[in-house]
Amino acid sequence: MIQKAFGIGNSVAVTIPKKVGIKPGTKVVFKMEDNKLIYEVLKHRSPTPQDKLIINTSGAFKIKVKNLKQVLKDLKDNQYDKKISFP
Amino acid sequence: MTKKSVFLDTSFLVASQVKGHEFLERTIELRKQFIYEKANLITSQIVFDDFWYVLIGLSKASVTNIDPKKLYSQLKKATQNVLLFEALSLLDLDLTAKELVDTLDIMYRFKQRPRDAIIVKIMKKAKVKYIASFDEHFDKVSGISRIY
Repeated sequence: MIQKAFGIGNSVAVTIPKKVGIKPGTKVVFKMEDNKLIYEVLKHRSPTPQDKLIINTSGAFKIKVKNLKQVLKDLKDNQYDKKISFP
Repeated sequence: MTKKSVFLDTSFLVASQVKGHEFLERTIELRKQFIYEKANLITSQIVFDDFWYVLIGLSKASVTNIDPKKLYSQLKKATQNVLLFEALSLLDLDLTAKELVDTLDIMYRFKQRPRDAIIVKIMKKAKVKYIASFDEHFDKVSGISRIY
């Protein structure tokens, strides 16, 4: 049973008894049925150091590009474009 | 038993570093799988040529102007990230004159672009059978299996 609910912006954070065993890294799926929130624990596991390394060494290049997929395709098709250098 | 070795292609490295890339999550899953399989990860200097080319190209297509200093900093971070990948080593190009000429055979027989033909040649020389890539054109090359 949910013990407390906290409103955060448009979301709600809830507290669940410790005995359920949820901890950081636990994967949960949830859905609404009528007014009931139903959640299911998929996997109980804290991230390992290797998981953390993978996450920390991913997604470093942050850029806003419209139609990213098409731009990547164009770059692949024009691999020898001499205009590509530092601006 | 010898460990499985997997060559990381440009498309894999790009997907692993570009936030919002459709295959970013897949690279994370595959890297977890490689750790589980205790696979050796391999790439080559020639891949970084293409990697930097694509990332700079993306910055040119950006909706916001990226100043060179910020771009340099992001490129450096993305490159350092890749070099920190678990069990990653760099393969030297180090092709002999004959091997370089043989690379033309790969271009001709398997309809590969020059840079990709060199990648295939150095994989074959190092006896690496697997390539982690989201580019289908590697499927044309016999003796190489694509992981994606």
